[in-house]
Order: sequence, then structure tokens, then C-alpha cells
Amino acid sequence: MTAMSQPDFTDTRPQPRDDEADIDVMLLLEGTYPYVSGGVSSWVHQIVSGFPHLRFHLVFLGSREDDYGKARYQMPANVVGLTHHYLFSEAVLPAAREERGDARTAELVEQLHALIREGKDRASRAEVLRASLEAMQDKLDLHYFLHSHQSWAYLTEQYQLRCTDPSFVDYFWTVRTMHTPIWTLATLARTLPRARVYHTVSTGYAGYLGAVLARLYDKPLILSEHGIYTKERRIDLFSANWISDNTPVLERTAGDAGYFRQLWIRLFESLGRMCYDAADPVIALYETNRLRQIADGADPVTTCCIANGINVPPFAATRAQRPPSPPLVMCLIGRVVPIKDIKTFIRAVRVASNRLPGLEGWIAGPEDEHPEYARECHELADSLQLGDTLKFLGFQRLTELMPKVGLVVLSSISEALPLVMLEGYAGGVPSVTTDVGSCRQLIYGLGAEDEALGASGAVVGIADAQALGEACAELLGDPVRWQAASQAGIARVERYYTQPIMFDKYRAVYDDALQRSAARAAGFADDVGAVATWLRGEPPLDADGDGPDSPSQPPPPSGGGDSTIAAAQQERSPKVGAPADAAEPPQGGGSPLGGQRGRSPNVGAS
Amino acid sequence: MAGIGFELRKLLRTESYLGLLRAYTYASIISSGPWVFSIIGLIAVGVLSLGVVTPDTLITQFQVTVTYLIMASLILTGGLQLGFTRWVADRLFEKRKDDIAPAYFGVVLVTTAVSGSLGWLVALLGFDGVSNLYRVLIVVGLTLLSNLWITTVFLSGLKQYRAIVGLYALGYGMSVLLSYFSRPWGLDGLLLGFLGGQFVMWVLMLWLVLRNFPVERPISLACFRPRQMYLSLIAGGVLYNLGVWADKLTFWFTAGTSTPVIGPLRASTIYDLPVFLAYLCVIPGMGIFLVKFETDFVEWYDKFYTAVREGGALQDIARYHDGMQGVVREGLYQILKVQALTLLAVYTFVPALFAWIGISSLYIPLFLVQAVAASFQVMLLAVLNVFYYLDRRRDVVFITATLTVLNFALSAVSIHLGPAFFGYGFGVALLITLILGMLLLQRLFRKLEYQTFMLQ
Amino acid sequence: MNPLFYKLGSLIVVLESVAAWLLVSRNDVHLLRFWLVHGAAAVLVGLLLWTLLPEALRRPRRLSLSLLTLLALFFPIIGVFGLLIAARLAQWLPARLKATDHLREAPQLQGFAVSHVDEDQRRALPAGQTARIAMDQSQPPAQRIRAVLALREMTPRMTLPVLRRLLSDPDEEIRLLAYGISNTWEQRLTDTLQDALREVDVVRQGAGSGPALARAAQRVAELQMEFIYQGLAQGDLRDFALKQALHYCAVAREALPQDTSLQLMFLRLSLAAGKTADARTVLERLTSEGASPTLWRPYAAELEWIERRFNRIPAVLQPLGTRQVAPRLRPVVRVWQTLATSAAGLTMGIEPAVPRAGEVRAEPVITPTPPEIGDADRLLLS
Repeated sequence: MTAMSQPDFTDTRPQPRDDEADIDVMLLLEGTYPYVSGGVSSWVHQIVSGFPHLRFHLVFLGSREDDYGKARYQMPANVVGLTHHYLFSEAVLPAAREERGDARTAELVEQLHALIREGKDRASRAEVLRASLEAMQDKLDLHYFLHSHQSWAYLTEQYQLRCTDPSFVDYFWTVRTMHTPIWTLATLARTLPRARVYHTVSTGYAGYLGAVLARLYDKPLILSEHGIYTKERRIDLFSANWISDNTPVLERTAGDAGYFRQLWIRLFESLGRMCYDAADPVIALYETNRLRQIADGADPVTTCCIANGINVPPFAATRAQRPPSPPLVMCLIGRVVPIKDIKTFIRAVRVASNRLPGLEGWIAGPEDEHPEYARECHELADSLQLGDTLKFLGFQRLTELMPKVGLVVLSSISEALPLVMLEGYAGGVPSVTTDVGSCRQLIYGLGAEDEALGASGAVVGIADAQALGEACAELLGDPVRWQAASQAGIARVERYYTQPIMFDKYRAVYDDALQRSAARAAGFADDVGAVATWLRGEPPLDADGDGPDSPSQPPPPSGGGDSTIAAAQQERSPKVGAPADAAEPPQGGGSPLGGQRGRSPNVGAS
Repeated sequence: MAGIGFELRKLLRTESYLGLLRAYTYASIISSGPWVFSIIGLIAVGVLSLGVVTPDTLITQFQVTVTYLIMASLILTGGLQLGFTRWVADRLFEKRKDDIAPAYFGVVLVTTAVSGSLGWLVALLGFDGVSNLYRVLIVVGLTLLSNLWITTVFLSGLKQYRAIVGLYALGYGMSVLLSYFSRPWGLDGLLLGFLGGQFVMWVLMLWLVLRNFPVERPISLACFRPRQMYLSLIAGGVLYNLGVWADKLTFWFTAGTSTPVIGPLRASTIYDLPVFLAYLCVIPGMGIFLVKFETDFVEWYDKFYTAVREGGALQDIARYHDGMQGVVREGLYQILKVQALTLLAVYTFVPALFAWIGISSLYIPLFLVQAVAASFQVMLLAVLNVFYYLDRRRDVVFITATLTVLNFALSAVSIHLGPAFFGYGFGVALLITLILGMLLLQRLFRKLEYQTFMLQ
Repeated sequence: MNPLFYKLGSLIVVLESVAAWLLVSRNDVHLLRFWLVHGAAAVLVGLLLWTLLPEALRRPRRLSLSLLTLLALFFPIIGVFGLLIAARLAQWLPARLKATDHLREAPQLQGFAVSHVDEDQRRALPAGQTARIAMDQSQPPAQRIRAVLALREMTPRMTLPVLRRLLSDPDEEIRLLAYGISNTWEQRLTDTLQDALREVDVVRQGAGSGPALARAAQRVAELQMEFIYQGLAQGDLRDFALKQALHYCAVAREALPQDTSLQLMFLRLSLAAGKTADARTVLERLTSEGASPTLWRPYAAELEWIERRFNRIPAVLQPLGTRQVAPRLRPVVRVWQTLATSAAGLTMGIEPAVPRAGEVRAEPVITPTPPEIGDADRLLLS
């Protein structure tokens, strides 16, 4: 397997600065840590705290400066820097000035757009990125795009050709808003300090930035996708009111998503593909998402799964505080926001309390993120006459809450791998959830071994309050079943979803990436998808090996510590065996890892 | 644009020529009324005072005084007129009607203070030997007229054209009447009567203002805060008025062409009369200006900007752009045609007319040249109006500055060249400025959408 | 009037007279003295008039004082009066808003360029196939999404069953879209319901009883019924909605006992809730009041159906002429009427037609098989 042929980016690369602090991993975060609280942000916090020997630099990409308050997380000491960039703020725009624009640049723009529309393969996409990065340094700058006559001519021409929505001003502003970050992020990429490894937590604009950084500096890019960005944006855009649809009523065909929505969706799809092309490994949380990534254009060889892990001991300690029989409490732990579909939960509480008198429903989560929705939820609770049966607890410390709770309920319409379920399991509390994300896999198990542990709860369809309520009432009303589910949950989380397991895998990923980074700096090429293949539990791609003269695969990831160039060069020999330290490569075809069943070789050895 | 546009359009919709004639006459009266009344008013006072006010030089002094007062107050307040009207338009757009009346009184305060002090200084220092009453009256006059222009422009910005015409008629009528009764007191009496009529006019205008903008708060200097009013508009206003009076000033303060009248004020016997009479020839042109540029153009302009701002298709935007451009072209062309016709008629009939009125036929050549120049001025006004609407303030400043400089320079040159060339200075300056303006306008229209969208 | 006012006034008059006298000369010094005296008078005039202004117009103090003073200064004697006259006039004769003013601002029709984008034709959804395409998992995802989006344009009643099925579709995007659509409908209805509930509270706190309360409560009941009708409330929640509807209907009936529409609503709700006794009471009341048979006979028929007294249905429906009945109900009525006429010797008793376990009764000559009342008719009767 030869190294992927790369277009040459060296001429577009800026000179390194001598005064840079040493950065191991640069994290690219779009709209999450540290200003927005939620699952992804907590995960980032976990990761950063879990590798105290690595120096992290955070790049926060927000929409506008005013949209964010103060930081919601206390950043650990190994965060050596934090850069902010606001994608849609006006501060980054150059002053308006009339300009003719270059004719050749205009031609280049046409060619690039043609390539994007027609070119479906990796090579043409890479060419687009290279050509545009080069041109952006030269005449095709943001000023050209925003203010030149050529740009105006191109825009109006495209409007006539393609736009099915009559409003020109909306088309104008959509195109302008969509494209401006492409320039500002490319500029940002050149001003950011250098890092050894780039790690992005979503595709979209952060993914684009990652792709640019990886290409510019020839460094590895890791992608850890929690939700699928393009899918989420698509859903957002379908419900978005801020994207206007001006087609007169008579002209509208039912089923049209609106031209501007389509524009945004196509942009995000392009950016997503660019990120998948540049990233190795491409990490999903669970198998379904990994398959979705492949469907969206990721190279299967680079994809793998690393599930979230939680810190089990604090929750395990709460098991002792539990009462002998399960408390008749069904508890939703999460923010009061529409995506959690609190209303279905409230209705389910009504249904469940009809069947199981004395049952209570609790909602443990902050209500300040979406005050309108919170108000609607309160009104719904009142109109269903729930009274004290339903309690809004606000933010709660989970270790204190868990012993008092009988079921962890999630009624979300979209989830990835919810940590609260795992935390519930660790505390001995089963889950009843909707069939979204990896919930089914968490409750019933994935793979024969996992399924043998039993069901740790129940799964119902989304927005089905009747089924959810009935399932909760049944489970809480049957102590034997409940006990079995509780045990199943404990076994499951301790075997597959602990923090050490996740950290082990990420250690492998980081080590491999840092090694590759050093190797590239020294001029060695590396193989695509080596660590991902390892994580998937498949035999290495070069198992039969090339000749000693060909650039070979890097050694299996060594655990812990930073790799210096010297160490890498020393370890550099084909088919090197397992190094002394912790994470071991699979023996032969060995224990399955990665997408199917994530298990560190460490666990089970105890 | 309720009010005038609506009525005009109603009149214009008639199919008959008589109807059209009526419409344009109406428009002419509305647009030219004010300054025509002032010219006629002055002449009327002069005529009525013949024989009663002796010596005749007193009448000339009176007319010259009033002319200088008008000129000085126009130039002094030119900038504020435009700046304040624009400020008012912006507030109306923001639906903050309550801010307007207090600001208006703030403007009155500042205007009164500035023009009053200036007038006081000039009266004290420049008019040795003249009666004190006169010196006080010119202070009063300067202040009053300054306030009057501001209020007039303010009201015309609110499209209260008919009211303005009515009030001017009333005001000048009162002035003539009061001067008639105060004739016995000579120069001072004439001035007193004249200013009395103007004061009545101002009071009635105040009433109109207060009627439309009831006072909640009495007074505020909000519009004078930094960056509230556009400096470029202020400059444009001052320069325009200066530019238009530049040739008269040149002739007045050149020794060869002028004579002292009273105090530092001078007049030019050869130049003044034909110039002011010539302005009477542009009444038809002003009518067309009002119809085309204040009505039709505004319609297309509104459509254009609504389409731009509220989601019209590009084809629609282009169509409205073409509509605007078409109106401008048509309007200028029509003004040219009408003025040409008028001038032809004037040329034919002027000797007889002058003979009948009793003006020497020596004035005729200068009068004709000035009539042509005045026609150019109307076209220039139209062009400037378009620039105001499209908010190209820098272009306005450029054009008016050019006019000022050229007018001063070319008038001086024409004096140097001799009597045969008198008046050409003004005419050529206007022509050059007009052509410049039209070229700029053409360039502006070519790039209008680009500038509207891309250079936000 | 304040005596100070008079003193000040007379002082002003004196000063101005002096000033006027100074004017009759050509002396520079006299001019200056004039301005001084007149200036002093002007200040006093300004002060005096300022005190006469209403309180609201006095602030800001310095500015309004300066204005009055300056006006008095530069327009001797008459200046300030001019201002006051203008103000008075404005008070007396304010701007009249002519009734026809709004006619001048005729609404502008927006002219949009109509674009004929023919290439869309092949992407259009074939008529009548939308729901099928949405549910068919073998269709390309883009087409399915288009179909789901098209469901937005239809009435919730028709499409909610489809959407509910799509909620468990393997494709997450379809699921979320279906959820989004049904959620929006549900939210709209809930908002309306909340408003109606608030309205009831307001009326209760205000008038307390009577027609206003009845109407408000009726509205709430109708909205609860709407939830059920549209299929937005299922299972336990449907029962809850039904209970709520009954409750508010009862409130309304209490407030306005004579209203026939309220009686009918109560009848429908009781039948849906299976409260046959209540339904029978209402029916009897309606018959005794002489309400139009077109209204209550079908419900009576349904009541008999629920209580399984099938052989009484023909008698109930017999008097209805075809014209009096809704078109969809006509076939049903016709069937029962023919049953009545063709079934000779049909015993019309109070015993149920279908034997219950352990009961003994006479064999009827013909056992009429009750025609199936399909879903549509049920709903129509409900």
C-alpha cells in the first residue's frame, strides 16, 4: 500500500516562527468547549484532563462574539493556549473598496466551481483545496470575493443560471455568508501556532480548518465525530426559520427544501468530504455512525470506533447508598432543550403514573438554555395536571442524585452515545430510552458477548409517550426484572465503557499521530489507516509486507509519552515487534477491537 | 410621497393637452412659487414706493439690502438646510417622530444665535453713518431670513409644497402691504414693513411645523452632536448656494462693474436687473423638474430600493434601474426642450416686452445669456437631486465645489474680457458643471447595483 | 398673577422704550447702548415667558431659556409673541387627518419574476403517491425526503399515521423530519389550547359565569377534541384529553344550560367515553325539548349500537329522510331502513339481539346481521 499521493503544498506554507511554544495537539472546536456546555464539551474536557503530559492548544470557532458568555469549564493546566475565531462576525471583514478584479482569477473561480460540482473523487477534491489555498494567498483573496467587479459579475451570472428562489438579496447574502469563513479560516490557519497533531471534533467549518492545517503543514489530522455534522445541519436547516424561502406560494412545489437550504447543505457536504479526505483516523462513537461516515465519503480504511468512557468508581460507590428496592422514580438527566424532547417524557410520566401509583418523574437539568421551551414544558406539566408527580430539579450532582433514582430515562430525538446512561449503569440504574444513536447498542448489547450480558433497560420509538410510560411502569413495577437489568448495566459499563478503555485507545491514536508527525518532518511517508485498522481489530494492511526499500508502515503505537524524532528513527525498522509498554497490538488475528467491540487488552487481564 | 405626487399624477392622467398644460402649470407654480414671489415682491415694493419715497436712491438701497440679506442668509444656512432635512428624513424612517420638533427648535436656536451674532458684528462694524434703526433691522433681517430658509426647506422636505407656495404668496403680499403703509419712513420704513411681512410668514410656517409635529419636549440639540449630520451634505449645501451667487458677488465687488449703495453693500447696474429677470424664464423648466424628478423618479427609486432590500429578483432590480435611468434621461431632455421653446419665445418677444415695461434694450443680450444659464441651472438642480436621492454626497460636494470655483473664475475672466462677454462666465461655468454632473451620473448608474450590494 | 410679574413687565416696557429711543440716531455709541438695554430687556422677557411655559416644556432649562432670550433679542418686541401665537394656533388647529389619506397610499402589488425551471418536473412527486413513497425504504433517500416534506402540506389528520410510522424508520433523517413536522403541528395546537385555557381563567376571574364563560370553556373542550380528532393524543393521553373535554364541556353546560350545541358536544363526548347513561339522559332531554331529529337520531343510533341493541337501530333511523342526512351517512341509513322494512316479524323488544352468555330468550325470525360501520362512519358519527 503506497502512501497516498499528495499534491505539493510546500509553496503555500508559511515560515515557522521560532518563538512558538511546543504544542502537541491542537484541538479544533466548533461551537462547543469551553463556552457551550453539553456532551461533546464534557468529552473534550475529559480528554484534555486525561492526557496531562500532552500540551493542548484549543481553537474555538464560534458564530458571533455576542453569542457566548463566559467559559463553562475550568480548563486544565495542560491547555497552553486558546484562540477564538468568530465565523460570522464583521470584525474579520476587510474595508469596502472598489476593485476591478483579475480576469485570470475569475477564470480560476469558474474552474474551481466546475471541479467541485463535477469532480467526485479524492484527487479532484485535493486539487481544489490546493489550488484555492494557493490562489487565496495571491489575487483570490477575501477582498476580491467581497468587493470586486469580477466577483459581482460571477455572482449575478450564477444567480441567473441556478437560483430558483427569486430573492436576489437573500441569494447575495447567503453566498457571502457561506463563503466568507472559507477565506477567514484559511487566513487563520496561517496565523495559528504550529502543532504536531491536529484534532478536530466535528466536520463542518472546524473540519475544513483541520483539512487546511493538515495540508499546509503536512501533519496528521484526527477526526472524532460525535454527531454527524452534516446530518445535524440538515435537520437544523429543515426547521430553520432564518433561511427564507421566497418562492411565491403558487410556484412552490411541495417537497422542496428551499434553494438556500440546499446551498447550505451542499456546502456542508463539501466541507465534510474535504475533512474526511484529510483525516486519518476518522473516529466515530458507534458502528452506525461509522457506516454513515463511510456513506458520506470517508475512506473505510481510515474509519474506526472509539466509544465514550466514563469514570466508573465514583458512581460505583453510590451503589452502596441505594435502597433495597428500586425507588419509583423515573429521571431524565439532561438539559431542557427541544432535542431532548422533554415533552414526550412529561407525557410518559402521565402515562406511567396512571399505571403505577406513587411513581414520580424528575427532570434533572438546567432550563436556562432555552427558556421558551422550558416554559412550554412547565405549561404542559400543568395542563396534564401532574402536580408533584413531576419535579423540575434543575442542575444536580449526579453522584448525589443516582441513589435516589430508579430509572434513567432519555426521550431524545437524537443522541450519539449518551454518557448519562453509562453513568446510570455504573450506579446500578437501568435505562429506558428512545431508539436513537447507540442507545439500542447500549441497552441490548452489540455482538454476541455483549448481548449475553442481558438487557439493561428498554428501548421505545421516538415521540411515543405511551410506550415510554408503559415501559417505565413495567420495569419499575417488577423488582426482579429491574434487578436483572441493573446487573446487566453494571457488567456492560465495566467491561466496555470505562474511561481507562477510552483513554487507552486515544493514547494509541495520539501516539501514532505524534510518531507520524515526527516521521513526516523527517521526510518519511506513512501508510493510510494503520491505526484505524488496528482499532478495528483487523489485520494490518501490509501484513505480507513490502520490500525493505519501500517506505513501510510505522511501528505499532507505543504507549505513553511523547515521541521525539530520534526515538522514532531508532524504532524505525520494518516489522518491528511489540514495544515494552502498555498498549499491545493484537496477537495474530486476535481479540477483536475497534468498531465491533472496543476492549483494551488491559481490561480482562485483571 | 403622498400629497403632491398624487395630485400631480391625477392631473397628468388626463388625455387632453389642456389637462397636461394644467398639470405642468400647477407643477411650475408649486416649484417656482417661492422665489418668483420674492422677485416680484421686491419689484412691486419698488414700484409702489416711487414718488412717495424720495430720493429714489432709497428704493435702490432697500432692494439691494434685501438682496444681500437673502444671499447672505442662503449661503449661511445652506449647509444646515440640507444637513437638517436629511437628519429629519432619517428620524422619520426610524419612526422617531417625537425627536423632530425639539431638534427643530434646537436648530432655530443655533441659527438665531449664529446669524444674529454675525449680523450684529457686520452691522456694527460695516455700516458707519447709517441710521441705527437700519442697523438693527439688518440684524433682524438676517436672523429672520435664515430661520425662514431652514423652515422652508424643512417643510418642502415634508412635501408640503402647496402650503409653502401659499405662505410665500401671503408673506410677500403682507410685505408689500406693510411697506406700502410704512413708506413715509423712508428706507427704514420700507425695511420694517418688508420684514414685518416676512415675520408673519415665519410664524405661520411655525404653526405648520407644530401642527405636524406636536411638541413633547421643547428643545434639544440632538442633531448637532458629532456625526449626527453629514458633513458632506453641509458642505454641499453651502457650496451650492455660494456657487450660484458667485458670479453676482464677482460683479458686485469688482470696481469697474459696480457702485456702492449703502455701507459696504455694492450693486451692479448692468448686471443685476437682467440676471434676476432671467430667472423668471425658468418657471416651465421647474415645473418639469417637479414632475419628473420629484415624482416619477421617486417612484422608480422607491421600487428599486424596495426590490433590493426586500427580495426582488435581479431582473426586477434591473428593470427598476432602467426605469430610474429612463426618467432621468427623459426629464433632462424635457427640461431642455421646454426651456429651448421658452427661450425662443422670449427671444422673439423680449424687445417689445422690455419696451413696454420701460427697461432699456441694452440689457437684452445679457438677459438672454442669463436666461440660457438659468436653464442650465435647472438641469443641474435635477442632476443634483438624483445624487441626493442616491446618497452620493461626495459627488455632490465635488460638483458644487466645481461650480463655485468655475463661477468665480470665469466671471472674473468675463469681466476682464469686456462687456460683450458679461454673463458668459456664469453660463459656461454652469454648462461645464452640468456636463460633469451628467458624466458622473452616467458612471453612477452603470455601477449602481455593484455599489449598492458589494460596497455595503 | 404674581405681582412680581407686573413689576417685571413694567420694567421691560421701560427698558424697551429707552432702547427704541436710542435707535433714532446714527451714533455708534447709541447703537451699542441700544443693544445693551434691549439685551437686558430681552433677558427679562425670556425669563418671564419661561415662567409662563407649562412645566413639561421648561426642561432643558438652559436651552429653552436661551431660545426665548435670543428670539426676544433678535426679533424685538414681536419675536416671542410670534412663537407663542404659532404655538396657540397649532393647539387650536392641529393637523387634520383626512379620512381619505390612506387611500393615497395604495398597496403596491409586488411583481416577481416568475421563473420557469422546467428541469424540476422530473423531480416532482407523482400525485397520490406521496405517503407511499415516504414509507417505501427502497426509494432513494432524496426522493423520500421530498415526499416527507410534501406531507407538511396535507392535513395532520391524514398524515399523522404515516408520520407515526416514520418515527421508527431506520433512516435517522426521515425520523427527525417526521418528528419535526408532527411536533410543529402539536406545538401549534398546544399553543392555541394554552391561550384558550388562559382565556377561561380570565373570564372566571372577571364575569365568572354566563355566556362568556360558556364560550371560553367550549373553546377549550373543542381544542381538546381537536387533539383527539387529529390523532395527536394517543392512548392514556387520549383518555386524559377526553376527560378534560368532558370537564370543560360540563362547565360550559352549567354556564349556559339551554345551548343545543353544547348538549350535542356533551353527547358526542359521552359516547366516545363510553358513558352511555349520560348519553341517554342527554338524548332524552333533546327529544323532550323538541330538537331537530336530524341532529340527534344518528347519535341515538350509535348509542344503541354501543349497547348492542341492534334491533332498535332501524326504528331510530327510520324517520330520517334521505335528504336530511349527510351524504356519507346515507348508505348506512338506507341499509338500516331497508332492514327495518324487509325484516318481517322482527321482534322489537328490549332484549339484546345477540344473546349474552347465560341468557334465555325467544328466537327471532331473522337475525339481522348488522352492517359494518367502517372507520369512516364511526368517525363521522363521533
